[in-house]
Amino acid sequence: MSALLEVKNLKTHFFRKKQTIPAVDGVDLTIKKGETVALVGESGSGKSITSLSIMRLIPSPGGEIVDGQVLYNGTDLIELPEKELLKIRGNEISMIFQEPMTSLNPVLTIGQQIIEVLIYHQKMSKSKAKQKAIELLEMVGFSRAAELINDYPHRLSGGMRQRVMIAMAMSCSPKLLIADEPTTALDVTIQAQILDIMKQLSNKFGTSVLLITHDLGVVSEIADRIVVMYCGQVVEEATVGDLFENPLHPYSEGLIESVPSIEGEISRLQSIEGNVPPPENLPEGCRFAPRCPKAFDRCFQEMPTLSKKLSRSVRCFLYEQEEVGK
Amino acid sequence: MTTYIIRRLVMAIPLLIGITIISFAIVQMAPGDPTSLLMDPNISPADRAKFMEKYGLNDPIYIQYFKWVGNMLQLDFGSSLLKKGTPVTELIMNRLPNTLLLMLVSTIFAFLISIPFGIYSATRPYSKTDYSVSVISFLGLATPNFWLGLMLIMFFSVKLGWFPTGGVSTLDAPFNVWDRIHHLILPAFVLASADMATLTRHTRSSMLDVTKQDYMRTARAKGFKERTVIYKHGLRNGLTPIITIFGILLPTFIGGSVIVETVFSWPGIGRLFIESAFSRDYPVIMGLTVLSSVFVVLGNIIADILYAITDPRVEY
Ligand SMILES: Nc1ncnc2c1ncn2[C@@H]1O[C@H](COP(=O)(O)OP(=O)(O)OP(=O)(O)O)[C@@H](O)[C@H]1O
Ligand code: SF4
Ligand SMILES: [Mg+2]
Repeated sequence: MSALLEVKNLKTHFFRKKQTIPAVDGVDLTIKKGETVALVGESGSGKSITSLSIMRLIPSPGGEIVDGQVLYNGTDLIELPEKELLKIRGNEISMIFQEPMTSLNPVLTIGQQIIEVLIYHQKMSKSKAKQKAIELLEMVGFSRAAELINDYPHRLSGGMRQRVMIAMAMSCSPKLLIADEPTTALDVTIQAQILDIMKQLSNKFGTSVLLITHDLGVVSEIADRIVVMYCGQVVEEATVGDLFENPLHPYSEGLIESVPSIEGEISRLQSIEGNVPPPENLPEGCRFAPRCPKAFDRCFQEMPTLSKKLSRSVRCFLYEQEEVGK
Repeated sequence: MTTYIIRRLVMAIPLLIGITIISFAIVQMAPGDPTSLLMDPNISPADRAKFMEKYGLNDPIYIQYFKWVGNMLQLDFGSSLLKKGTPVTELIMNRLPNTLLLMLVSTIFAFLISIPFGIYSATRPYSKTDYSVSVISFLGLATPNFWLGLMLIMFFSVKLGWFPTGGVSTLDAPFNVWDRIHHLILPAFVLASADMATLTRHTRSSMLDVTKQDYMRTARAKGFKERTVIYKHGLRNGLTPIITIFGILLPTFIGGSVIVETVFSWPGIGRLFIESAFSRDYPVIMGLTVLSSVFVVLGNIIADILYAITDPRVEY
């Protein structure tokens, strides 16, 4: 499998009152064709900003991609002229967001919001786009799709709106779907249904998925690989099997230990003491050092690099010299 | 929708009754009575009593009120105490078209100018352009209409001779559309000026709020050009609150027309109001007060209905 998306040394900073906030600080990430990659980490670790940077949707002024590359099929999206970028956005790479209640336009019908994408990117006729919109809504599980396209979003529940968002995002059969915590705001009973629909459709269209989530339980079911982020950096990257069986980074270890045994998300990481440091006030050395049970002197002075060990990578001094394998 | 409109109209009835009571009461309480103005102070008490009798001024207050309302329902607002007893309805109808034309054109001015400026400011918040638009808006808001009107007449009409100094059309000339437009531009602009400022401020804040909404990010993520995002996804959301503002601005248009019509010698109901007020021509004053109140109430109902049409979340 070849790489569909390669993020290299991505740095997205926010500038506020002479203060620089390194929300994303040198992220490397690879997504292969047809693969589902999960991006996990505590709140504030920079997951959303990473995904918005890939789409070049960082709110400006305020935030800026200051360094790095986002190679999509080998072309750097960051350097791409706006006109070319717009052909990819929403067409080859699409996105769904955490807030289903507010992500749809309240004054346009559901049909209009799907149809406009098909007309814009696929140059479909209006009637053909309407037909396709109905099909898409049926695919995400609406039985009365033909009537639904004339409805406005406020009549739908959060789960239904997120299904509409999925239908919209999948409308051009994208190569990559970025889903930023698509189920966090939803009822637990609906979460499984939404993930199921996403999984089905991505298989059907051969779409790669970047799934951002808090929920490690979800990850083990749906993802092929996991990327763990902490304070704007990737600290570990491995296949789902490797990570769950043998987490290397002390932070990953803590995350896995704190997965609730039955269900639900990690509201508080019991096994990791302390809090995530704010990005404008990061510790020196390893960013995890103040909370790391295995920290030693060097950790407080130097920053470990992300080093490749066979099929996985880890950012920790404990693994710098020795070969890591299974 | 039809039931919603009917319901809104029915709900307006108590409001209108209240308005008639208040306007009647205000005129009753005003100092001086028409006889003191109309008549020779040396008139005989008998003639004076005859006059009072003729106009029903001797009846108890509530009888006067019911008579007045009853007549009004038949569109009879009584007769002017001056102007040779011309019926008020006729006086108003002669002037009304001029005022409606002026208000219509200045509403169009206000919207055409302020909405683009408001959007421009909102999409570049805190930029130099945004600050300039704000400063001009506040100046517009702070400038009294009569002063602005006089300045414009002095500059554009007297000095440059580009526009006429007043009136609806050139005297004794045959009807000519261009001539009418020529006469309309300055007064309509002045009447619009204060509301332009308010509308620009409201458009800016409403659109600024809209640009931060999640659905705008969704629209960008679809790959649309920024212009499509703003105008297709943003504008309809941002304009909905502006429609209700229009309902609020309508009274300022009516109030403003009194001044603007006076400055530009525009023969509309605003000037009729000033003339009648100075001569205590009660039937005309009351007719005009009730008429403008009905306008304001209707304007608000229309704004509500438009709001319900543009915002699908409104249940009716
Ligand atoms: N508009 C902004 N202005 C300033 N700083 C910002 C802005 N947006 C994000 N940040 C900073 O970037 C950091 C990372 O934010 P991000 O939204 O990527 O976190 P996240 O990992 O997605 O967290 P969550 O799980 O809560 O969604 C935040 O801690 C915040 O300080
Ligand atoms: S480098 Fe040190 S502090 Fe950082 S995770 Fe590894 S052991 Fe812990
Ligand atoms: Mg987030």
